[in-house]
Amino acid sequence: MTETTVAPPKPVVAEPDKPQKGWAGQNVPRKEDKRLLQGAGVFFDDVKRHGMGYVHFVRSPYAHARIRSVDVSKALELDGVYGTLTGDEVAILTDPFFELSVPPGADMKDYALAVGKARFVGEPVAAVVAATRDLARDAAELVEVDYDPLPPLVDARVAEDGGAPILHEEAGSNVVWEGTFDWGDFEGAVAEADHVVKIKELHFDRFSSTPLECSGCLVEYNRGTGQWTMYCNHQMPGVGAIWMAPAMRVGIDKLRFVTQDIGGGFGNKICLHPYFVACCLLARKLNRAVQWTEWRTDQHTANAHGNERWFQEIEVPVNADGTMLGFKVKAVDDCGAFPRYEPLGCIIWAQVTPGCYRWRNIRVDFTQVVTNKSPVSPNRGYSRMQHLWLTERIIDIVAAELGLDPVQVRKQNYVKHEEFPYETPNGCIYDSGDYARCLDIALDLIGYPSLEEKRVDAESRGKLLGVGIGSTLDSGTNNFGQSMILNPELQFSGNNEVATVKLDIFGEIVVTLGTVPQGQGHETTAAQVVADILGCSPDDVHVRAGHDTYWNSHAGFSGTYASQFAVTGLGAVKGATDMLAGEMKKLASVVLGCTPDDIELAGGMARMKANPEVALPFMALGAILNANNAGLPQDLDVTLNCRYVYRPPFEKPDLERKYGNLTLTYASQVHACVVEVDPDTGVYELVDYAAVDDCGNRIHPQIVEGQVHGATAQAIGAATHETFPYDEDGNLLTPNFYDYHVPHALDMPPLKTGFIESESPFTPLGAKGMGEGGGAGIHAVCAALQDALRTRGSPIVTDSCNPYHRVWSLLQDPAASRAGIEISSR
Amino acid sequence: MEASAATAVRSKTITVEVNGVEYEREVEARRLLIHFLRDDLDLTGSHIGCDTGNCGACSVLYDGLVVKSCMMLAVQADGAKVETVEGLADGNELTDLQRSFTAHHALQCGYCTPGMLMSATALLREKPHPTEDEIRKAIQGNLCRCTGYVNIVEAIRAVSQ
Amino acid sequence: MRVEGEREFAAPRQTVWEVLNDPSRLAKTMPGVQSFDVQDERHWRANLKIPLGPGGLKMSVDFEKGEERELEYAELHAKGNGVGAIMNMDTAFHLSDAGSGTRMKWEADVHILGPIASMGQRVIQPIVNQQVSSVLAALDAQVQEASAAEA
Repeated sequence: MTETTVAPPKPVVAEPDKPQKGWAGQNVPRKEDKRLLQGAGVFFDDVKRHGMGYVHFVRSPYAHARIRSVDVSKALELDGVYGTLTGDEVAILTDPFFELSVPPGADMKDYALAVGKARFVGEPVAAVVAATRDLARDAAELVEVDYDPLPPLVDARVAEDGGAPILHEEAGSNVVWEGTFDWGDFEGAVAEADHVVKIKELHFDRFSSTPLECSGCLVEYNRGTGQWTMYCNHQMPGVGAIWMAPAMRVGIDKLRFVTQDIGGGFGNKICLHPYFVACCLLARKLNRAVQWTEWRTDQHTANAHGNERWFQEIEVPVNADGTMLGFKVKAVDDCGAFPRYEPLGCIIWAQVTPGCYRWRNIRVDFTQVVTNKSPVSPNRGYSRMQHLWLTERIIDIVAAELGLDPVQVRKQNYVKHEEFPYETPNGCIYDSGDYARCLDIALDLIGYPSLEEKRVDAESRGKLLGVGIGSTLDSGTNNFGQSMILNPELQFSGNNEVATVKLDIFGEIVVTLGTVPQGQGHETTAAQVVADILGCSPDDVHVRAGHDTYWNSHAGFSGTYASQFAVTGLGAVKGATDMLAGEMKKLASVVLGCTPDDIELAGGMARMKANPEVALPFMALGAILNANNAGLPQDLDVTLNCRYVYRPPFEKPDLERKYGNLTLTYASQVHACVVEVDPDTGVYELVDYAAVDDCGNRIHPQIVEGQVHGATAQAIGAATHETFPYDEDGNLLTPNFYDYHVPHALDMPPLKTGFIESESPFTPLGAKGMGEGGGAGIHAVCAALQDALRTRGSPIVTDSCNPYHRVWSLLQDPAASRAGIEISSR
Repeated sequence: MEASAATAVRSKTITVEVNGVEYEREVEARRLLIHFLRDDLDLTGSHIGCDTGNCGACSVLYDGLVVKSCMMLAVQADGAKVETVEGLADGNELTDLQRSFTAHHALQCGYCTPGMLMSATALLREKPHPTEDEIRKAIQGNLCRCTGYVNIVEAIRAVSQ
Repeated sequence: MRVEGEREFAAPRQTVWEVLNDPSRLAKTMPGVQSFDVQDERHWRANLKIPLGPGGLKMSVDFEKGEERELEYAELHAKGNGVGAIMNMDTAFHLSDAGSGTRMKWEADVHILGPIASMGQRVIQPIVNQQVSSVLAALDAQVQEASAAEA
């Protein structure tokens, strides 16, 4: 890393400032900050209960083994141990978790603890609860488990071979789901094309966003009512409850999730249900609150990774002028030992089937398999990132092989600004955007025209300079109906989010959200939206922190995930506030003797438009309805306590053609990156970096930009060092931060940002969900490395993560990386 | 001479001054300082993010030096002056550094923030006008997954001007 | 991981065979053996302290004899358990004449599991190599001792 880093200049505003009316669009100070800055946030591990027991899990050291016996007797003899839980108990007390797939995936059984078999290193096999954390660890070491090791499966590509170890005997196969997607006319495209470029294999590495706060919960069980309360950090409790309740054989209302502050989620806190069920069972069995905090090593080995994906036998028909007609690929997805949220990853990529490009002929043969590795969960960018990386690799490899300019090729193939809303070959609607313009801004920010000079300068210092572009889409607000494409029996479709807004007896405005924020500033942006509608200031709006099942402010899909808060969360807030505003006007009109249309809300008052002196403060409205309501007309339909369910407009997809609109909004980002590579060692540095973002109307520009910075840092980590490799025995080689290198402050390149705002025609506020678009950084770094090494035998970058030793290998043997490339021309 | 099991020291009474308040407690010999602060003293502002001393979420000041309190035993703090994030603000009055963090949106989830604030506080006491590079070096041991560090560096720099 | 090699002993096959098949002698070839006990002619257990970090790594290893062809071939299965480490090793020995002495070819499949496998990869290979050479040296010594006793 060089000594000096230049502070990034302020972001480029591509549009002249739009006239600001109201709070949306302004950088109001975050409500969350005051408590977080003073260490007064409440993260689940901060919550204590008198006499609570601490949970420590006994975990499998084997990637694949039969469990012959579990003996907890010695652990129970230790003074201070409250009790234990084993797989046998779990198998008796619970049913396997609901599986989303069709057979064979449907037949894989997944419990809170390993039952009969361990299927990945770190899988919890038993649990011990004791008076202190350290005692629980001591006791866990006394648990004796007799394992019968089995050969592990660690390469998804051979999971279907005869003789491959089968993880789930009940399924009889390692396949979770497989299917073919075929749109347009690929054969026709090949026949028509001037060239067909074939790429044998590309690999998207396992990694994860590793939130700084580990997972966990404090569970209390109310014996009298049979109610569990979990103080936790589950980021999608709607779905968590759907998994847990049937498995525990209880009604869904028996599970109360309470979250306040969460130290990052990024999709890694969606599949916590197995651990939570174990803790719930223990709380009930021991009649005592139990507390579990995940260790960093546990998070890396036994929580969740992002999907690992192999792309094989890629074929790209191209015309001589650089227009690509589509592509064909065989995708093999490695989802680890248990499907859980999968196989949704097998369809979610289809939200962005052609990437940013106008390709009409696409065929994907998709297979997802289990392996003896950590299970996966929807890590930031979920399934779209892997697929978009493929499309960007295709662009750069084809451009390199045919001697075309990657900038020109992109502009030629991008969906054009005039074509929005654009329908993709599988019926998804890209709402708005201007990718070419974002690309121009990004190139400008890195000084693209002067790159030749920089290349010469780098050479004089013995370095190879390369520039790379990464374009990406951040599809947000899912239509869960896409799950039916994978399994027609599933009864999931559409999407929803809930919010309530009420006017209290003393005139306080109180908002509850259904989302589960992990730092995205929901309290603040929700207050902005409410303030604009009710004509007050965000300081007058109290948004309750976090999430609580008891607020009854959530629905089946509630949570914070999939880049949707600005649409679903704020859509619900807007809906509830519009209802409240209507009721306030109605009530005011009764009191003031006029019609609701005569009333406006401004300055914290409900006042007559014609005569603003005649006004009722909010407090008066609240008091009248709640405490002083005699004499109001009987048919006055006003509660001042409004609950709204936002439902995006979706249809069920056409299951046969696998066709339909799968997401409501498409934010986009284009990144450009400049690297300098040391050809002797493979060590490289990101010397310049630009990220340009388009997420429609920005409710709080600073928050949006913060997301861009953070996602970019994660992408840089994933591109340079962050990877989860396994050895042949199924041991994870980067089980904690000692070996898994996460970017720190000195690792960051000079980061320049820019933005445009292409309003979405489909959403309540013209905003689009965003936050996952940083994947563009991975694409850009891969492209930059490939560009830098052009003069050294033109190796092809085939992996998404390129630590220095991989770059060194490309330098040593470029031909090996090129072995899979084949071009046939007319 | 080997210590026999009977004479091994399993716990000790320590006296630690934290944020200006003196505490006397008996602790197990193996108790980490971070657990002592969070569990025994209910000072939950300092956080735990890893097992290997890499992430810095537990950073506190120990006799003025930034230390990772997960890499220290509570018994090692006997007689020391420890400062944690809870001791920065004066009642409800946030420090300039804390206010700069908010103005520059230098925190999102807030989990790394206490550690960042302690590292920054130590830096600014030693170097009231650090260069950008010195700032980045000072927080090199504090990992953040939300912000990309951009606004954190800005916030610290703004205060040092 | 796989480790394999070849060694020549200046002793007849019978002597080498006997050493390999004698648990008490075999136990003495293992570095850091603190104690061992023989359960029957095919099963015994040894308690070791392997030099690894301060205090060393204590392991108890269960040995089981596998298939054997007298004077020619022997299999030995070992399952070891320690704190944070599990070691499974399956070794096969092939004996043949080398002039008046014996050539022993051996190969072992070693599986190391537990946190040490994830975090200690870099140091495991050198340690395994070091252990192997210690064992071979000790085996040499045992065979020499056995020859001398017979002489």
